[in-house]
Amino acid sequence: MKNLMLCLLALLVSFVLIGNLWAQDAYVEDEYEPDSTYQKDYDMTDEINTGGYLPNKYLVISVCLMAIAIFYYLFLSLYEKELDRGKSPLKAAAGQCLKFTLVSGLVILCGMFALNGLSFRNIGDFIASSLAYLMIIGLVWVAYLVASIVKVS
Amino acid sequence: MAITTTFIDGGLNPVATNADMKKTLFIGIGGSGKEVLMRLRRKFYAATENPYGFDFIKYLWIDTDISGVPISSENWDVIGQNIQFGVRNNIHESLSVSIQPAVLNNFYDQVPQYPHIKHWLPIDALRPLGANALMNGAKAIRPLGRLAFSWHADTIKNNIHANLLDLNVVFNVPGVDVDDSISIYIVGSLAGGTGSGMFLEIAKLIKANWPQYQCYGVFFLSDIFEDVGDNRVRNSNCYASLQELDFYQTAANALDPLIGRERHMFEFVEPNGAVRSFELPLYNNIFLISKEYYKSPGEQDFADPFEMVAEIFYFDFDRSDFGAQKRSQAVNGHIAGSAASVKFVWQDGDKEVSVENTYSSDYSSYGLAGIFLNISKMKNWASYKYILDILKSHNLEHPAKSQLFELPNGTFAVKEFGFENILGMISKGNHANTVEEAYRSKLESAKQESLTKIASTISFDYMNLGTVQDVCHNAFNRIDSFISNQQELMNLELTEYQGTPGDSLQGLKANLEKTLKTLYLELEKLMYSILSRTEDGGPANVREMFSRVNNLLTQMTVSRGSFITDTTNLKNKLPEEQPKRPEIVVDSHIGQLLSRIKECDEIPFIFPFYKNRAKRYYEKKLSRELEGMNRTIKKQIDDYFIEWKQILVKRYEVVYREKLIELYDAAKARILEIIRADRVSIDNHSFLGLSPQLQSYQDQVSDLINYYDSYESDLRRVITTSINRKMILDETLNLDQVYKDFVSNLGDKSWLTAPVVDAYNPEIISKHLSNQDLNEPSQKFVRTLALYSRYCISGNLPELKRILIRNCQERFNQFMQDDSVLNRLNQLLRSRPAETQNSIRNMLSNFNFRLALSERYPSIDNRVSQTAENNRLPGLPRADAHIETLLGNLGTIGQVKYHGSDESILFYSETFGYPLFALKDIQKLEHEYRSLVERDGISSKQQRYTDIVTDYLRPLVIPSDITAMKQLLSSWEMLYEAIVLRVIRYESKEWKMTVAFAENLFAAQNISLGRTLEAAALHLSQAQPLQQAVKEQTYNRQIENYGEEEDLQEIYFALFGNFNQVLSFSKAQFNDRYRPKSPQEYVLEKLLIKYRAKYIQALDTVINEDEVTRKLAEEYRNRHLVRSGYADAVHTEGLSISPKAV
Repeated sequence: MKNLMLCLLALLVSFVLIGNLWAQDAYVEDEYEPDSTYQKDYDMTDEINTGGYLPNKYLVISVCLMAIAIFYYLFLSLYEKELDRGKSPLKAAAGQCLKFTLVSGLVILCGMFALNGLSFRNIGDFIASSLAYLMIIGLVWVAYLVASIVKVS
Repeated sequence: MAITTTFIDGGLNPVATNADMKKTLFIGIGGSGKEVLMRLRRKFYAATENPYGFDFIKYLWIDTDISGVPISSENWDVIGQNIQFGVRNNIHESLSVSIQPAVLNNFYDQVPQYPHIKHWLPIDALRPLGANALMNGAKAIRPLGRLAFSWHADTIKNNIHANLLDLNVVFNVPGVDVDDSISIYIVGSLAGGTGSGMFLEIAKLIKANWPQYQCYGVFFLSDIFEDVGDNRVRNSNCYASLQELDFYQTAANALDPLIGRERHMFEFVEPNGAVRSFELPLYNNIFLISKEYYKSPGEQDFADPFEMVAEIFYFDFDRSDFGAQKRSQAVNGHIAGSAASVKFVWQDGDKEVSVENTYSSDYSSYGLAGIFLNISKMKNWASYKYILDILKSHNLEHPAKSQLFELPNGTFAVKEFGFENILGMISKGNHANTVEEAYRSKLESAKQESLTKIASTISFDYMNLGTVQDVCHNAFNRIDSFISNQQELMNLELTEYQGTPGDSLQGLKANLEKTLKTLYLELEKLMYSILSRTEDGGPANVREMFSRVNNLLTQMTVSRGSFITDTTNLKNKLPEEQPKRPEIVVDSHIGQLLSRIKECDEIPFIFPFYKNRAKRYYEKKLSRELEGMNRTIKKQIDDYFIEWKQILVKRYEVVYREKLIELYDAAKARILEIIRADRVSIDNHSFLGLSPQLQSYQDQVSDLINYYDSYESDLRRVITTSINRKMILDETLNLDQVYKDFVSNLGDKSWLTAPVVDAYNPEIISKHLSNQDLNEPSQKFVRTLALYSRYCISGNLPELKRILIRNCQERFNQFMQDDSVLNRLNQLLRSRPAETQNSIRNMLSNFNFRLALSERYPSIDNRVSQTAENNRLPGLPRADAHIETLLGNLGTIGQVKYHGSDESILFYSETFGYPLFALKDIQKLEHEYRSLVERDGISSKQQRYTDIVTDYLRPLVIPSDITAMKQLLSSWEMLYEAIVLRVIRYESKEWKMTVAFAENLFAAQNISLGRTLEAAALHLSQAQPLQQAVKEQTYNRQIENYGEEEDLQEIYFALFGNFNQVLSFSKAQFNDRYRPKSPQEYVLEKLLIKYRAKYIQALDTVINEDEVTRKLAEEYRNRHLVRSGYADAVHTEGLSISPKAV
């Protein structure tokens, strides 16, 4: 079971990375001027050169949501193990949700990073352009984190 | 002077004869009668396995000692089993006519009440013999024989009547023409008490009631018994019997009215007083048989006369031409009523005088001789010997040989025979499990069933956790209740309640029966295996085996003791308390889980799915915990149950073991019973114990050995005994060597035993608890021998002896090559012609018939020789010109007939027409009779005759010469003269005279001279003083009273009247044929001449004798009435020759 979970986790991470890479490509083709580095990399890559798909932020978000959902299920699955250790069901649930919050935060960050073309150069722009959304997301995230921490304790 | 004999042929009712077989009733009387009838039946049985021969032959044996010792050496009780007299068509073939002591004692006091006995019984001579006189035989006292007959006359008559009724039907016998008439043969001896005492009575009974049937007598004379002890009494009996026989065979005697009326001489008196008259002669023909042959010495073999008569009877029913010819020439009419006249001739001055006495001459005799081969007898002998040898081998007592009933390792051959094995068999029987295991299994099933029910109540969840204790308590109560119930049931398992055993006990008992049955069968099998080993087994080793069984049972006592000790120990270790109930505890973990479940409700909705997941998790866990708890409780219940069950099982085991010992003891007793008891009850059936089986086997074998030994020795004796009348051509054979050679080629004896087994095995198996798996035929055979008498006697099964001998005889038909007496004789004639011819000539000349006759009478000698030669019948197997010519040259043989039997050439010869005085020994018999009477007195005389009055009997010894005859004539003369002169008078039915003898001081004394004139004459001739007295008185009377002319005329007339009567009687008797001059006629003639002379002398005138005779005759006729005293008494009218009744 444990191995299965690790495999699923590795698969999920790969999926996020590859998915975001793909999202990055689409974004470069449609939205941004390619820089020389990118161009250089692009030239060097046969698949990108031959592909005609456009990058989509929705795709990244979808990938991130999917990853978040999968992580939730993953932690839910590991819940009985926590119960086996004799923990209180509430605290164990809260602990799992806390872990999930932290992981989902990381996924969100990865998604943001992916949407920025895996580059910190435009991070400021991105934050600025999506601040409202980011704040909502951040708020929700923090609220959930807090709730989790509260229940854990 | 000379004595000559003349024969006067009879003319009375000749017997029509033909070649057809006659319906025949054989009546054997006394021991001799039995000997003949048994031998005849044996011959029939040997030929056809039918002891009766034909349906139209009946047998009746009458004896006063029916279970006594046979008179011959034949052991009829053994060898005659198949031919014994029994009950045939509801008619007894043998009649015991003994009289019990109390009956006889009582009878003597009441003789006058018996009209058929009182007139003849010499009570004074019989009474002193005591009450036991007629209990076992007639003690050679003839009136006892007659008394026995008279006492049982009704029974005898009814029996004969029943036999005649049975015969009086039409018999359809294939190949046999049966004549309508019935012949009755009466066979017995004239020497003892029974036969000679009743042979006349039976004939009287038959002649009075069934005169239409021919009645023949075959009687043995006393000389047959001369080698068996003192023969004086027997000779005397024989003489008296012959006298009486002669009386009843002389038809003229019936003409005596006085004897007939007064003493029932010619009437048969029934026990109820009714009388039936009969005519003389009593027998149509009488065959007398003596030990000696006619002009030839007798046989050394005492029983040969019986054998010969049986053989002759046998050939009366032979289907061959020989048999037919024999029947046709038997009994000739012209002998009936024939007489022999003895003429005494002498010179009286210049005149020849002759007197003749006539005697009945109706007697016959016969004989059978022959040339024989013994092949059939040898085959028969060999068969009996072979069976005998086999049976003897079965009865041998071999030395003990324990290997016969041991396994190679030395243990007893019946492997079940050990304490543990017997217990095991009682426990298990032939089932897969022991009774104990079966009980355990049953208990386990019941427990399981109960447990299932109880366990079904043990199903706790978090909803009813609170009821755990209650439910469990209840469950334990149910267990206790179940156990209690089972305890009660267990108590019933091995006990009997009101006669009904519990299941276990029933099982054990059934197993016990099976065990006993197994042991019985195994021991029986072993027994028969030992018995079948004739070379080293036998009854002794079986008894040894029984002894071993006994020892083994004793040895088992040790094991039994150990078993009981173990059981006691087990019993002592039994837990007395019931098991402790386990504590039921609900696990605290379950409570925690319950609280966790409650905590799950605290999980907020912001943690979606967690609440349900947690609840499911805890509920699942709780469920597992509850399951565990249920399981634990059930296990505790189960353990509790098991603990209880084990206690129960242990308790059961103790009782079970106690019961096992009890049943073992019973088994032990029953095993001993199996061996010893006559009847063993196994499985509700009754069977024969082993010892009784062994005993029965030994008895049967001994019985068979006795039987076959008797036959074997008898046949060997017959084969090896040399009989004069039989010329045996193969008597030089070494029998034993021939037998040995043949038996050595016979090989396995299963051919003899297998048919016996096949015949009886199904019956034995159906009636006897017996091994069906006896594989060895020899074992089955010995078992058959052991059980035959118990199970196979009745029913329609054939007789064992018959099966054995029949099979053996079939096999032994190969014993000797079949040969013909003709071939063998021809061979002998070629190899030893002179010797063989001489032997044949000798036999033919000697063996005419079996009766010793005196050679004093040449005419009688000629006559019997001639009749014997005329009635000689040779029987050859088949035509053989050479032998026939040879036989014709060597002797007179008559017309040859053929009988088809290759083993014999027979010569049957019959003679007839001799008088009894011609018997060779008649003088000896008479002499012994007289000396016996002189020695023992009047009672001895009365014990010889069957009637108290014997005056009517004529002496059988005729005057030996002229002198003796003259003496007799003198007595007659004296008698007639004395009667006419009233010196001798007829008074109270007797001739009497009064005499005063000097030795009695001249006191007057009435002397009885007898009832008949003949007796009186005889009396006078034998008593010299009496003769003197008669002479004196006659002379005196004549001088004193009858000197005048008229007196002398009266005397002459009286004598003349008598003379006329005698003459007319004589004329009537001889019927103008040959008429002899009797002594009476001679004497009266002489007296007439004497008194005529006296009369002439008294006339005082010279007158011619013839003139006086004419004158007296004329005067006699004128008077018509004879006045003399004598005339009143005798010869008054008709043919009477004895005094008229007063």
